[in-house]
Amino acid sequence: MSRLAAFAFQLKLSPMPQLLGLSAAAFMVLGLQPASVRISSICGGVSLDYLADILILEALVRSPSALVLDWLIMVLAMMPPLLSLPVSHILRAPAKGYRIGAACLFALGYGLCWLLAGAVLVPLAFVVAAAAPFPLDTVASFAFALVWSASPSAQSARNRCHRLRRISASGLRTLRDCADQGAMTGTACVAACWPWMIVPMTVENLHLTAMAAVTIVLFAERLAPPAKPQWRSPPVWETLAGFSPV
Amino acid sequence: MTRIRKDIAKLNGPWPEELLWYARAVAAMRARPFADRTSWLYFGAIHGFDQNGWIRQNIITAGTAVPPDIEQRNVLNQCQHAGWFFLPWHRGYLAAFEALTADWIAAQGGPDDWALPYWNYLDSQNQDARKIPAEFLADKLPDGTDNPLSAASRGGLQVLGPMPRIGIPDINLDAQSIDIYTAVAPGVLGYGGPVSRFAQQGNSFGGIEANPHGPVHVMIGGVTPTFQPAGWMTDPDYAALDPVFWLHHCNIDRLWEAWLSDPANSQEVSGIWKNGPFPRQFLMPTVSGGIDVFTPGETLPGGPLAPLYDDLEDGTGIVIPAAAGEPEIAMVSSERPGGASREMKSALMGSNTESLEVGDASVSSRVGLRQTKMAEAAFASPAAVDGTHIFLNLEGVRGSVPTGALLVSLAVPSGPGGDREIIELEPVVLFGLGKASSTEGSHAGNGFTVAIDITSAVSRIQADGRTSLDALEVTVAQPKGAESPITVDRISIYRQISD
Repeated sequence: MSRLAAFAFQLKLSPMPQLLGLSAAAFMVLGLQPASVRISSICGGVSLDYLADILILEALVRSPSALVLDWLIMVLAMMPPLLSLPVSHILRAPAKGYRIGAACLFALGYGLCWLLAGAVLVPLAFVVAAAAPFPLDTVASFAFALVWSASPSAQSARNRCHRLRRISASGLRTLRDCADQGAMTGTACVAACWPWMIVPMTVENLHLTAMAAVTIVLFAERLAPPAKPQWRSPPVWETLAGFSPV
Repeated sequence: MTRIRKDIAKLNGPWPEELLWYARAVAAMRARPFADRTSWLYFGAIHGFDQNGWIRQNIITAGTAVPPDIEQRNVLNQCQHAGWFFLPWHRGYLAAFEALTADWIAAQGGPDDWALPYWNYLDSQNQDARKIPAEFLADKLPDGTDNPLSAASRGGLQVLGPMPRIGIPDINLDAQSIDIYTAVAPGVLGYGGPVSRFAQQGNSFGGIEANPHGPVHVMIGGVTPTFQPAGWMTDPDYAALDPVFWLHHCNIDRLWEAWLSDPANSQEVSGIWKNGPFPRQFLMPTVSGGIDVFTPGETLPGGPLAPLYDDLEDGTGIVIPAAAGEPEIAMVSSERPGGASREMKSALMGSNTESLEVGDASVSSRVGLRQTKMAEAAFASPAAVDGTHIFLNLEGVRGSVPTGALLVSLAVPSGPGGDREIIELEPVVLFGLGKASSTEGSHAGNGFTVAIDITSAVSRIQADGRTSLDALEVTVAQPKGAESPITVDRISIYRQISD
């Protein structure tokens, strides 16, 4: 019981409740969105024969902004629970009047990293979905993500996710520093999580469920403490073992 | 059966029964293989384990069977430093070690109420209090056999005291006057440390960990002229291999117990503290070689891991009211860290503008104090400082040496001709700096944040009539001989506001 309580209290530590709220709101937005504008719907309908046509059609003829928006809301739904440490840092380090600006600039730096990553990951998801029928594409991308999580490279990236940088107390430097912290965390986050983001994009009908499942996996990985980069069991197991009293 | 921990100086020495049995138990534990959870090496590795370093120092060989990987990740390298679990984790660690040692002693026909003695080095009534107990220095036991209590790598200092050459300050009981356990607000100093997760090397010390805990480690372990650890106690990966470690930490634990007995103090009892970290948890070997879990809540008075001491006044800085009877423990009952009734707040007054690299020369940086309206008000007059605490913070302190030190001073204008007065602050001991700065180990590499109370210095400056305190020039240096640079991300000034 105390292990469940230990976990539950972690969720109460500020700013985690606010970040979980943000994530839940983004999930709701995605739930209310028409299925036709979702990336997963496109993935569900592609095959290798028509891949080039669909990429051009989606990118140029249909609204590219819908794709970008869908991707960013997806990031907004899945990533906030992972950001408790750096967000706490950028809110505590500056003088009081700079906190809203600090949060906005952090979000800008962090969001830009995922925006650029999306330019590669969304087409990659189309390719994965086109290369194999469902659920083979999902199983393959899941297996790859699991292997990636066990790798030294992923551990090194996760270690960098815990890294904090200097934040100036006041002035424009504060905002610049917060944007830099956002970019630093965002880069590490993309490096640690990118294969996992492809998994839900290959699932059409249970897209939100798949997203929620991957969010839990990534959250569990982030709860695990930094470790020496080496091949190991995926850290999600370490977090699950934390529920066991011994 | 009740175990009561006693002052080593008040035992029937030299070589009181308690220490003779301790020595025999240490020898028996040392004879066990590393992978045995009841061995000396295993208990030392629970605190900290650097396999390559242990091989280099001939503590183990390359062929020594070490605990399995999964056990290394879950049980070894567990010590909690620079965070709010420092005190409860070490209390649980002492309890597990004491239970194991006492069990062996009772099985050998020794006393069945054996308890760890403590080294009361700050007892002002004992002129020999600061001397390393003679039993830990003697080569031989009274029966002429080798003494396991002196079989440790140490720096050579035999009487605890300041080490100005390497910037180690004298030990004191100043921390005992800090009345709140948790530094919830940024930039201030709590008794037991700031809110933290599982942190073998967290980011910021509590008052009791900063002094006397850290300096005693370095005084016994010592450092080389190039500031590398000379002996085990200076490095967390080796410290618990020295038999004197346990007596030192027993005294630190007693200082906490004495602090808890003062109703003016507020102990942390929020749910997040009492239930401990997640997902890693606090695991200790049992007497039978199994593994047991404990939580910080179990270490509080009335809990199964709460210790008993023969005295809580001598050398603790705490006076227990004569008519107190059972000590009343002041504990804030709240789910919020820090508690609801004694909320600690702080305000950032200003910071410097650039990161610093401190090599073999000192580095100075200007910290503006008029960067916010609140700061302007706070430093407008001497009276404005009254009733508050002002803290100088060194944030993001990183370095590769296992343990480092920084000498910090303030320069303030002292006359119309541009003369400056230098106010030396207490040197900062960075026990475990290398671990806290490593980016590729089990740490995030964020280094330390150190809060130094400069209230009296600021009051003195303003009392001298220099009411126009616009900035402080802070100079940071390493002790002479230090070769490896230490970086400081930011220097800031915080003002604590207590409700």
